[in-house]
Order: sequence, then structure tokens, then C-alpha cells
Amino acid sequence: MPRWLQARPFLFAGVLSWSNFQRQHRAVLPALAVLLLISSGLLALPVVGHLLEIAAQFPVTPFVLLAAGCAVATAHRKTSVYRTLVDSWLAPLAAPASIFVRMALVPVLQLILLMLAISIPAVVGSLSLKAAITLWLVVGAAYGAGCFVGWMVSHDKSAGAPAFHYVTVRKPRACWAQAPRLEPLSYWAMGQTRVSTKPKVTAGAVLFVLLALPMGTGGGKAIAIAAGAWVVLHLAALDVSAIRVAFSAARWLTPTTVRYLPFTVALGYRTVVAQLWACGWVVFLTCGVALTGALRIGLISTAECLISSCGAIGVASWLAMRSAGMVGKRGGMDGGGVR
Amino acid sequence: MSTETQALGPETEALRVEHLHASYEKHAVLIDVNLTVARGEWVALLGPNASGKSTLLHCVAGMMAPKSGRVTICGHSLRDDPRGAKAKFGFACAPERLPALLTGRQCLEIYAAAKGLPSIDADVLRLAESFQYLPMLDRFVGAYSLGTRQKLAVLLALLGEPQLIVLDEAFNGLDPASSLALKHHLRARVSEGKCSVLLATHALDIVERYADRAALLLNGRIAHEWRKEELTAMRAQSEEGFEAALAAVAAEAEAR
Repeated sequence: MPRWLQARPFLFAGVLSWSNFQRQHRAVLPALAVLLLISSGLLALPVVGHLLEIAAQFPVTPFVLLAAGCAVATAHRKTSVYRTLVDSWLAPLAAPASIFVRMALVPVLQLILLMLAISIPAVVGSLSLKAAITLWLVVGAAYGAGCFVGWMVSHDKSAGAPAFHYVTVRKPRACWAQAPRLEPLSYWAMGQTRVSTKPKVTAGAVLFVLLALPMGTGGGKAIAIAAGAWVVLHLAALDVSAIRVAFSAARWLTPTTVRYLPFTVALGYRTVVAQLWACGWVVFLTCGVALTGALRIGLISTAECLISSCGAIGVASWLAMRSAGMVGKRGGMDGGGVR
Repeated sequence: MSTETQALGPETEALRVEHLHASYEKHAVLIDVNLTVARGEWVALLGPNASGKSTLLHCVAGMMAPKSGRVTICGHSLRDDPRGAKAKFGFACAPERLPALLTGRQCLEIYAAAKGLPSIDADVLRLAESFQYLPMLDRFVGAYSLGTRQKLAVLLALLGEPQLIVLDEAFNGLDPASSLALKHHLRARVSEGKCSVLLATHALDIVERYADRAALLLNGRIAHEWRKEELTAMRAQSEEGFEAALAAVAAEAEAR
């Protein structure tokens, strides 16, 4: 290993981990190569060139989408990179933290792949050179802007305790000690949602939605779209949190004999109630401004949202319990929950 | 008994913590903590769970930014010259923080390279041998037991002959033989004046037999300090001398 790499413990550890990972999973590199070949083949199809041609005609939309994605990813990456300065096993070392390289590595790789993805249709002739150049510029500018905005938005420096959030339950059950229930599991998912939908995060995402609106959109419409985006983010965050917590909770509860149904209900009911509450307000407000067909569309959307949430939480719980060995392979839903 | 921190010069002190305040959001964990560790001294940090011991050690290791106050390691301010300060100490990280995808040998290699060492210290290798850790060197850390991870964390902290060794419950999970080997190793290093040790622990036998000084942290404040002579006198007095003294101080502090 080169000496400069050895003097940078974060990079050195990353390289060794990657090399060990490959040694453990020998199929990864060949699989990646095959995946790249298949992707290249798909990119050479005429339909892809046609789609990219359309994207080049409306460059603002791909620019905003890419910049938004890149900004969110950069903000998260900055948070996690800075967190390693306080909670990594390498944190106590008086050695360079290689922040720039660690921050730049992923976006640079993504940028190269995207540039290649645009080049392939251009080379096979399904995309005009002018459109390809436009897209190269759009992608480059979007990554530049996204990285800059993401870096500026995130302020998670190494101060304070790592990954530490105090959550206060306002009304603990009086008989929690005499008649314990699985109910607090639902607070776990809600707490996770609160962490992931901090105003700092959602405001940035809604800002990008507003930026993507075409010129001349009315103020009222823009506010409605922003509010709609916020609601969608909130609903999605609730689902994602419940799914993530299902796996963490299953790992934690592995030594117990908890069954599938009580686990799933305890985990997901507050999430579903919160979604019902949010959807209810949306339907109520849209009916209040007398939008045509609002009630029908609202009720159908609410039902779809709740059914898909229940389905997702149910499947996630089952997978989580199965991966933790809490549900027998042939035990099914009714629970061979007891180990 | 003395509750005051010894007055030492920058040449004689390995660690100086002055008026340290730290909090998790609005929850204050350390309140005006003052502590000094002299060169060649072993200081044990005692206190009930959640009294702030680990937070204090994380502040000393630069892994948590205090709200206010000053930490100086061998004359280097942790805030103004973090690299100079970090170069002087070894910190045993929590065993669960060690990277699962690396082998023990790779972890040692990375630490040694990052500290600019030409080779792994011979006494660290000797300690690894007495830990019976050598057969585990080429296994992935992810496959280690808690005790084996703890051994690796301690070995990493000892690399490069640091002048201040900061250990947080480092004896947890170690088998009796390894625990004894580590105690003797640390005592030998301290006695030779090679380093100072700041150890957070609940094991009173270590405090009584090996520490030069003990500090009791209660509710985020240093409630009491015992000097070596006081510790020795208490041990001579009765089997449970120190235990009883500790309980008395804790009860007195609670009553206040």
C-alpha cells in the first residue's frame, strides 16, 4: 500500500474493508461487471436516446431533479462523515480525516457513470451530439449546484453527542409496570419519523419542488403543491421509519417469543393512525376550498395510502422476524413466532 | 481526604481538565468538572451509571465537544491544537465501534501507520501474547467475542507509547488472566513513568490495588477525590474500607 494512503487511516481502512469484502464475496466484482454490460446494452436502445433527447429539450427538469437528489445525498453524507470524527474507532487518532476525498468519491463516481450513460446513446447515434452536450452540461451543473447546496445546508459538525436524540413521551401509561404492552414499539417508529422529517430536511426538499415549478405558476397553486409535497414526504417518512424500525426491533426482540400479529400491530398502528390523521386534514381542507371531486379523490387516495402502508409494514415485519429467526420458514403468518 | 485538584505545572501534568461543562442538548451531563492527572500517575474515575464518566472521557479524547471549559493534554490544548494533543494519548474505543470487516492485524496496522510508527511496539505484541490474542489476529473483527474486541481496543490504545492512556471500562469482558495481565502491564508502564492512566471503572479492587488516586463523579460533578495514602489506609483499615467510604460519600452527596 502506498505510504500516503497508510497515513490516512479513514481511507486506508476503507480500502482494506473493500478488499476484504471482495474476498468474502467473490461474485461481487463479476456481478458488477455483468450489470455494467447489461446497462450499456440497454442504454444503446433507440428508446433511451429518444427519452434523453426529450430531457435535453427541457433541461430545467433534469437539472432540478438531479440537483435536489445530489443536495440531499451530500447533506446526509456530510452528516455521516462528520459523525465519524466523533464516533469512529479512528476518531482518537491524530491523523488526517480525509473529509474532502470521502465527500467527493461517491459524487465523482456517479458523475462519471452518468456521463458514460449519456455518451453511449450519443456514440451509437440514437442521441444527437447537441443534446448530449446539453445533458453533459446539465448533469455537471446539477452535481456542482447540488453538492454546494447540500454542503451549505448541513451544519452537523462534530459538536455534541453522536446520534443522540432525547424523545419525551408526553403521557406514559399509568399502568406500564403492572400491565406491560408492546405499544411503545409504535413510539419508536414515530420518533424515527420525527428525526428524519426535521424542518431543516423537509424545507430543503420542498424548496426544490418549488424550484421545479414552471415559470408563471400562480402563488396559490405553488403553496398547494408545496403543501402536497410536504404531506407526501411525511407519509413516506412514516412508512420508511416503520419499515426500518421493524428490522431493528426484530433483532432486539429475537430472544423473546413475541408473535407476528401483536408485533406488527404494535409497530404499525400509530404510523397508520398518523397517516389517517394527515390524509384526513388534506381531504378536509381540499373540500373546504370546494375543489371539484376532492372528496372522492381524497377518500380513494387515503384508502390506497393506508392499504399500501399496512401492506408494507406487514411484509417488512414478516421479513424482519424471519431474518431474525422469529418466524419459522414454514410457520407462516399465524406464527410460528415461538422459537 | 482531599477534594481539591493538585496544582501541577505543564511539565508534570499529563492531563488538565478545567471548568468543563458538557450537555446532550438541554440535559447537562458535566458541570464545572476540574481534574488533573500527573505524569506517571494512575487515576481511577468512579461513579454510578449515568454520572458522566464516559462523557468526560469522550471530552478528553476529543470525541465530544464540551459546552465550555478546557482540556489540556501534555501541554497541548485539545481545542487549539487537537492534533498535538491527540498525538499524546491513546484511547480505547468502545468494542462495538471496531470495524467488523477488518481483521485484528489490519486494525493494528492502520493504527500504527496513522501514528507514524515504523513497527508495532514489542511490548504491545507481548501483551497481545499474554492476552492469547495472537491466534485471533487474522480473523475478522465481526467474528470476535466481546472480550476479544475489548482486547483489541486496549492494544490499539497502547500503540505508540502514548503519554496518557484513557480507558473506559476497559476490563469489561476480559477473562481473569487477561485482566491481570493488563493491570500489571499498565502498572509497569505507569511505574516506569512512561505514561499516565485515566480509567473509568466500577471495579474497586483495581482502584484499591493499582490506582494512585481516585475521583468520584456524581451527577456530573467531581464529588470527592482520594489520594494514594488515603486509599492504602482504607484498605489497611478493613476489607470493605474503600467500599464503605465510597457509599458514605455518595449518600452524603445525595443528601445535599
